[in-house]
Amino acid sequence: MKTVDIEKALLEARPGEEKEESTDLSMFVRTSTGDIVVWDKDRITEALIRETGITRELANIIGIETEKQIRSMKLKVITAPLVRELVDVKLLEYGLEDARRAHTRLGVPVYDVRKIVFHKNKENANTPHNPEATNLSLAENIKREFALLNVFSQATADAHMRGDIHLHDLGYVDRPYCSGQSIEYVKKFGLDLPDSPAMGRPAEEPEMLISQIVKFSTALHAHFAGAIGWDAVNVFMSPMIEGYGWGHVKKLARMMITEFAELAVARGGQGLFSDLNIYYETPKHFEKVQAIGRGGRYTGKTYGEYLKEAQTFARAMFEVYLEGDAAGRPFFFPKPMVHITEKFFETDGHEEFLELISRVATEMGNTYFVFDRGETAKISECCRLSFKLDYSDLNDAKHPWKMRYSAIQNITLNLPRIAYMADGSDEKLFKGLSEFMELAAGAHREKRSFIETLLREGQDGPLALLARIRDGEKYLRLRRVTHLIGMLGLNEMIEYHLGKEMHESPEALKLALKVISFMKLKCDELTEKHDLHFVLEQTPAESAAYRFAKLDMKHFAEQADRVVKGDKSRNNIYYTNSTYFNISHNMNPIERVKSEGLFHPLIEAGALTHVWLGESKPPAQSIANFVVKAFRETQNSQIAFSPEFTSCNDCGKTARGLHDRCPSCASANIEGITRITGYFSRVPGWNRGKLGELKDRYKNPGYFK
Amino acid sequence: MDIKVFGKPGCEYCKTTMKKFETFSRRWNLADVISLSFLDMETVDGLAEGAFYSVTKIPTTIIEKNKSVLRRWDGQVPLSEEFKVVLDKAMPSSGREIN
Repeated sequence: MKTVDIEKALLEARPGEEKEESTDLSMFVRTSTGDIVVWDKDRITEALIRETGITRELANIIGIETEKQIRSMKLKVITAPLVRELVDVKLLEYGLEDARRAHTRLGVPVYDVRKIVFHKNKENANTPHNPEATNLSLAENIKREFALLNVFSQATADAHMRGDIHLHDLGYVDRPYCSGQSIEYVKKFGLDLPDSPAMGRPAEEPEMLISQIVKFSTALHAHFAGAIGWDAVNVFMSPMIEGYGWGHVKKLARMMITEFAELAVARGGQGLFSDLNIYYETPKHFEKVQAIGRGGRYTGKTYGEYLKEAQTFARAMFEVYLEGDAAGRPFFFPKPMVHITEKFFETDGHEEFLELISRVATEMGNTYFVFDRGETAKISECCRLSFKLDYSDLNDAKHPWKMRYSAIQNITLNLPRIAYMADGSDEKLFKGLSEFMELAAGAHREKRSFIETLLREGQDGPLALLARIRDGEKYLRLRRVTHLIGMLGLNEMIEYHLGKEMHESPEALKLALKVISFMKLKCDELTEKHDLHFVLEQTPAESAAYRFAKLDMKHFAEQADRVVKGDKSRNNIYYTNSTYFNISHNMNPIERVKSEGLFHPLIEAGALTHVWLGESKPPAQSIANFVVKAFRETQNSQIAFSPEFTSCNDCGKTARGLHDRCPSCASANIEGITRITGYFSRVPGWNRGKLGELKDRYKNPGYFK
Repeated sequence: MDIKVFGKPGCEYCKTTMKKFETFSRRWNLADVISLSFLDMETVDGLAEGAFYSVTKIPTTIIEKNKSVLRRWDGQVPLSEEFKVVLDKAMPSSGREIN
């Protein structure tokens, strides 16, 4: 029944009742603003009119009905939230579902608050456990509910709740996903944050610049859900260190890394999820660009002329990474992303630099090797997200502060579920895939529309920093944002559909490639249809891999039981991430890099292959040879080598491998450290699914010997 | 023997490559022993097959026998002398003369 019909029926059914029910009920209400006021039914009426848009007559009737119910309870005091709940029940009784959705109250049960306050949030291993972090978790809970009720349509929200798709970072619904930019913005404009009592002028000293970059990163972290990436950091730092000796440069490199790394007080007490893109050569598109130096002034030289300084800073950074933190642990953040290009191999001294970054990869695991083949140029960030630069971007490169790239949202499809629903039919499989992608596109439009509304509030709105115009455009350049569609459990989808995992037959691999090809072309079609840039990304799926598996074990138990991975007896279950091959399969690592790399050219917004090292420590030269082979002989976009560590909280020592007790002092007060998805974190903070995956990881024993 | 040409319908070099193989396989009397196919990289099947063979440039031509790759050309139109050598070598016992 439509609202207008319901209203008519209600009014007809209750002639004159309003007058009859008028009362001065002697009861007090504890309001949500911390006051105690005398009961007044009209407050219900006014709230209903204001919040739901129903007519005064209808609101009055609901008010009278609610009052009658409360009267029958014979209470002396009632809380405003309970009144609201009772009104909502009345709205439901009368079939006013839309009004109920608009009027509902978002909150957290006492039991859940206690759980959040006392126990660590394991949805994101980067979230610590302290009062600031519990504030974040509580706020996330409210915003998540708000997003599902108010930002996204019911169809989208239901698809998420069912587990057909996963809307990432719902608790951060009022922010875009993540952001990549250049430190040239800070060099040129200084540090000018909305609501900040002081404005920082463009830095005259490199120390001041580093401080401003870290502060600006923290501010951006508060405006985005994910990572903050900085492009060609060593290239843009180079004019600031001209004439400095090695000792001074090393000190600055240490300052930059530790300032980022030790900032465990960012959003919700989290570490500052940050990525530093590094080049050993001057990227072609920056070679002839006028360099900005101290005070935001041009130096009169181009970045191509600062190659030596840029290389020195890059070397210094990796020496710092090699040293690790005070306990000898790898720095979790900022993540160094080294771009390997054809020009890299033509640049003098690249062999020594490759050896150094490979040494860091084997000793500490920090280095990400990002492969930019041919004319490709990109900025990498987050766990694997990257923005490929097109012609207009390369034109923007003449003014690097303009190069700001963001993704609005990431939405992941539950691929195994599509296979369960297709029940062996190819036709249904691709139809289901198409439907899920259409759903994701709709969800993206809803999120974008919400962000646009917030941005329109300009300097008075919550996204003032992103709405600020310093170079003719808002900081968040909506014309260049992407809308990410991710995939999860491709391996299990194929396994269920064909009875074979991706590594088990060429037919299985070919079907997997066909699924991703279909998704890529569907993205192109959706881009055309909605005039929004849709791209595929390998989903890091830190929590989604567990969530989808758990939901499918509940709703598609028989089917999921055949393919879900992990330890079912302990409920440490998961689906294989994105387009990865079975994580436990004994596969030669170069073969894995090659086979997983077949998917990478189809996944425009970023892909990564992990080479799990466990406790082995291959020679740096073996890593370097492996990297060259991966660049030359595969299509893989990015690789990272992941060792494991045990850090002792008693003796402070860090040992290689995951142990039950500290190898130095036998203390059990230890924590394991390794990569969870695309970043290092402490194993005790991992969710059940990731713990299951960790146990299954094939760690390539003996390969690099 | 399979000859796979990966390309796009609007690509003139891709059309030339196909035409070349059609012409020479007729001229060398190999049309019935060669399976020549054009894989359109703008379709799901073509893109997937291209990904399987790591095709990143068009036209790309791959000559295969018993699922093993004998020769490939990436981003270029093969010269007839080049693929003649491969076909000669691959079918010595066919009794056909390639001139």
